[in-house]
Amino acid sequence: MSALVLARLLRAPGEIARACRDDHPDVRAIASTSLASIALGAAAFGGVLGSFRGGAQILYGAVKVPLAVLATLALSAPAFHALAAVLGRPWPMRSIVALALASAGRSSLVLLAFAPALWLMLDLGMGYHTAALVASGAYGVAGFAALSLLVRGLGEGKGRLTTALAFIGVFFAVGGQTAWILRPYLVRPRTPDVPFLRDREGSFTEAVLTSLTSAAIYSDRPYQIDERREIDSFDDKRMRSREVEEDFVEEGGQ
Amino acid sequence: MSLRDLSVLYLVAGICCAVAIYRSSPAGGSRAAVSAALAVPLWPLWAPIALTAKRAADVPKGAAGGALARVKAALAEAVEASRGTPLASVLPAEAAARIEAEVERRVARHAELEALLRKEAFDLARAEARVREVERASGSGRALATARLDLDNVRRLSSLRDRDARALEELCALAEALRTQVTVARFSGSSAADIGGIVSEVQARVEGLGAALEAEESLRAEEPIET
Repeated sequence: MSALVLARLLRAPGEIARACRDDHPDVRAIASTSLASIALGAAAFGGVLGSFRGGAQILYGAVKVPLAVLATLALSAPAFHALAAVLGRPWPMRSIVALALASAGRSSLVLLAFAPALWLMLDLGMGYHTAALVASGAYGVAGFAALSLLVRGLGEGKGRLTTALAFIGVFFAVGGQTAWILRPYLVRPRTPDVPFLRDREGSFTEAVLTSLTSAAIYSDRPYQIDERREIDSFDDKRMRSREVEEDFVEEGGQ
Repeated sequence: MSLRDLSVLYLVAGICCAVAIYRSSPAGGSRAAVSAALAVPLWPLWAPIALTAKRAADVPKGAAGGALARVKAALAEAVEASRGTPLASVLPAEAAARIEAEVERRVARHAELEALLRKEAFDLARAEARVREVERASGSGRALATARLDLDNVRRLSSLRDRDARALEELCALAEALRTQVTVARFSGSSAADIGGIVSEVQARVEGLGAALEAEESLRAEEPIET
């Protein structure tokens, strides 16, 4: 891992992108530093997410988030190479892989930067749904950081936007399904036993479609918690966990 | 095919890539072992890089390789000396990294030329001997023209290599002068403008080196092949 490459990943993404595109001798150092950034940054963020429940989930989160990123890249890289070639950028596979790794490395460094702030917010009692939103926001910002490097790496010329959109499409599809398989990441503290991987329940696409359909059908009905089904000790206020209490208060005590 | 079978196949592919990476590594040792170990779980990402990426360390140990090491050391020391002072604005780390990257690229090109001229087909003495042989044999005008063209090309490549080596040596000296000037400016409290000139000259030399090589290439590409 090179400190100089790390600094350039954050402060001079254009140089990194150019080095990947031009097949510079630095490509190897860029790839190895990016891999280390992914391992460190994504693990830190995953561990913080896991700390919402605590216990083994911290370790699970620290393992699963970088695993999701790397698995997505490994599966997507050949598609990136093919798309780039078809859309006017017939670069060597190593250039495409280095560019993808550098983009993911940069986003992981952004996640690492968010990790302490998220940890503080969780420690101050942030609820489950708010935590999920904040984490999604962090992922979004990290995604933009990656995109800025990727777009620079694609260079000027015809098909740049199309290539970028194609890359994003492939990454979202593969990344969404990979993340779906490796869930859960953010687990409620009241969950007694948390598995490393939840049972397969459909796919990422099915879940998105189901959620969209539900939102459309039930948009005019007030949200109610089915208290009896979720936990036996719910009537005992002392047994309510923080986020269930938050949900209860949100619903006006219903 | 079950997930287990797929995992086994993935692992086997990873091990094969790890072996290939270890065997192809020029240095060997712990770095090669780490690179090979990384390939086992991450071979779709790491194998294309490790097996095919150009290596900065492939720069030859000859004069050009020595020049690169000197330039790198001089730039690193100059950046370190200017850090935390107003001089840092004239020679930021990014600018030094760009200069270093360009010099590395030129040294790699020089190494390619050196390797090419070591081959028998590009041997100057052989090309000269060939021309003399054709002249003695009173061969056809076409054969003589071809032999002379071959000799001319080899001479051009040789002069390119020599010019590269001279330019790199001059650049090396300039980078070392920059290091000295930055150090003097730091301790004498000189302003950034005092070293701005030499920084610009280093950058201009690097750019000029690249432009000269590219101009030579375009000239050769435009010339018709005479037969």
